[in-house]
Amino acid sequence: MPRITLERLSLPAAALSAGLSTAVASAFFSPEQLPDVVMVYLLGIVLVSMRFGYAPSMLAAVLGVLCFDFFFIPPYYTLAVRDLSHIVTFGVMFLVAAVISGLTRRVRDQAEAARQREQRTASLYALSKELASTRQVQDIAQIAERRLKDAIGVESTLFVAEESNAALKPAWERSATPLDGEEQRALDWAWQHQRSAGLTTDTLPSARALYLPLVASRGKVAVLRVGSGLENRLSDSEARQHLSAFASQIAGAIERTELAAEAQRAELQMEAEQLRNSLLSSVSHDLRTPLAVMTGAASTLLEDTLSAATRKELTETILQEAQRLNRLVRNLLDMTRLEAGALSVNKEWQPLEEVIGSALNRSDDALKGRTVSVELARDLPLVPLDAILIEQVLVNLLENAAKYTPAGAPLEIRAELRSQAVEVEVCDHGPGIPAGHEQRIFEKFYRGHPGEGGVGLGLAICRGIVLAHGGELRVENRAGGGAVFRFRLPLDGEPPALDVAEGGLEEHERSELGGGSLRS
Amino acid sequence: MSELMPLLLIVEDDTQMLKFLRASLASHGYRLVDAATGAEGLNQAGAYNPDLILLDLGLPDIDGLEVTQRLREWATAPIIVLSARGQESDKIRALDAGADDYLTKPFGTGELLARIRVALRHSARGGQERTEPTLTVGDLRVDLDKRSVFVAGKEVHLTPIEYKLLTTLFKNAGKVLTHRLLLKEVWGPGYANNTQYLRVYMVQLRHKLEGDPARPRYLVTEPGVGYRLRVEE
Repeated sequence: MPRITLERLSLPAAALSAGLSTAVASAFFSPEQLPDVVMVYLLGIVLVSMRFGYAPSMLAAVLGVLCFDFFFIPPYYTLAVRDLSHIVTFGVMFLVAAVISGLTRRVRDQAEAARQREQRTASLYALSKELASTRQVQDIAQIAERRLKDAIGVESTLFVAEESNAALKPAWERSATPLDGEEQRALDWAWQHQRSAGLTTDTLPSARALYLPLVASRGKVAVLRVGSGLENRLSDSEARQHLSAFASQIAGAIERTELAAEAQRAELQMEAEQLRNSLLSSVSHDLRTPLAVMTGAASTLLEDTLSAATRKELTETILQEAQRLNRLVRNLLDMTRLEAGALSVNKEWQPLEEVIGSALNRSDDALKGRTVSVELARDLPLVPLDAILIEQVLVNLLENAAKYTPAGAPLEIRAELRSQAVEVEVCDHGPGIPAGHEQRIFEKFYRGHPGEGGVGLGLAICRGIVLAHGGELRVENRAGGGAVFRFRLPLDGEPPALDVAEGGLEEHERSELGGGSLRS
Repeated sequence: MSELMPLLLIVEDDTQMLKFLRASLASHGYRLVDAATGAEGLNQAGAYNPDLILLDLGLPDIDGLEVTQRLREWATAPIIVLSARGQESDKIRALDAGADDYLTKPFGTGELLARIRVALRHSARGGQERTEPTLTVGDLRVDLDKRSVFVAGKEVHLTPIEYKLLTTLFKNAGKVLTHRLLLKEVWGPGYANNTQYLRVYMVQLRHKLEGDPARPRYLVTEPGVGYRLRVEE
């Protein structure tokens, strides 16, 4: 804006400089002091060139020479020249004015360039500073797009690909018009060939925007679409350089996020590896302990000097350890099958009571000395479940309760119908779940009391089985102390139509039974 | 004495398992022959005509199921199948092919001996089912002539199907009965796959006969396989 005003003022300024120079010279110097008069004119020209640039200063030089001739060279008040040596003076005066104007212009331009460079450096610095603290590609895109608008005055969009072969998409969601054919082609071309395409380039120049591939040290990372406002700006090479400096900053930032993500993945992998190793050692420890006890007890039994009581005790030890080992192996196998996806769920509609019955039957040893009360709602329908698997869930929950609650403490099993699902609860009167561990206890190899047998798989298996049934398993502490494990089994699908009233069959049966003393 | 004791054939390829079976069964007076492969087992069965066969399902040469089928072509001796957990479908197939019972490894001696006694008792009775007019297991008593059922001396009224289900279990007391077999026996051949009926009736029966239906003393479930009337010894 100020530039235009200055240009408009350049003609009056040149005239003013000539006039003022004449006035000052005639006020202070006589026509005999010609060198001083020349200096005054030169000063005027320099001032014009400093403020208004080359053309106005040359104009001021011409006007100055004319005024000098008119007012100070005899014959006065004419442009005629009597002494030819004055022509040389005019020439020197003009030449000096030209040289000074040139020098001044260069200084001006350099100052201007330095100012612009400083601005650009500042904007680049601001960009890199802001980008340094971002971890997300969408944040980088938002920052870059805003900074580009501030610094260069262009609208831009950053396109990234989630995977190296996936299609490019804007890095963050915004209401932008989708790219039409030509734009899309330019975008893809820039991405594939890693060279600029679109507006102001040789490739697809009819596109409405410039597509700059962003390439970092390890290869392409994104494409920057530079849209409206571009044509005016990119005419000068400085702005182009500025844009490409921005581009490489952005590319570097995106690559940094990728590297960070990779580093994190690598770390996770390493942690998983460590976990696996520690699991392996804990599993092998858990398997070896009962084996060691059995080996020891059995080899002791081979000695002849033992009393009958000792023999019995050792034999019982072997039996208990074998059962423990059996449980361990069972859990490990179940977990392996669950994880391998090899667990097939054979759902059949059946009464829950029966599954609970067989689970209690199987847990007899673990539940010795406890009362287990079973409360089943009267309206319980048949439930689609795999009896063997759900029995395993109940056995694990019961054995778990037996393990973590004081000997003899009672347990309760409850089941009721609740919003298209049957909810089964196993409640205990133990210490409950430590705060914050409500989720962790379902993790593989989590153990409530490390070092006390068990590999920490029982509950993980329970959750896996319940999930495979489309249900969920949770735990909570209850107000009066103790934990409640609650799982839901959804009543999916069509229950079988049952003719439990013995309808047509009854007649047939009755006749076969010959109408004995039986009554329904 | 040993001449009167039953002769058992053990078909088992694992030498340690065989050692354990031999030791525990011999100490209870049973006479024993053994075989390590299916083919050998079939030969031994033909040669010795044992009173009972213990058959491992996982044999190196012939599938245990096939051994069962081929034995049943001529032999009537009870077959008890030995198998690992997780092989429920194999157990059912073996039972449907004519095996009399199964034991899941690992098992204890007590369980093994109980199953052998039950199987031998049933085979001794042979085809004549109604040798006694009343059948008793623990507190349960069924009077077959009067068609009445008693729990601890108190008569309980059953529907005809419940009664038939109970008597089928009673006649095979201690033995596992597959869903399919029970459905065929009680409902008829057309109902062999309607296991829900069977389950619902079993629940009803437990509610009428068991003190705590959720923890049955007599009518126990063999998960994935069938039911058994538990005989307390």
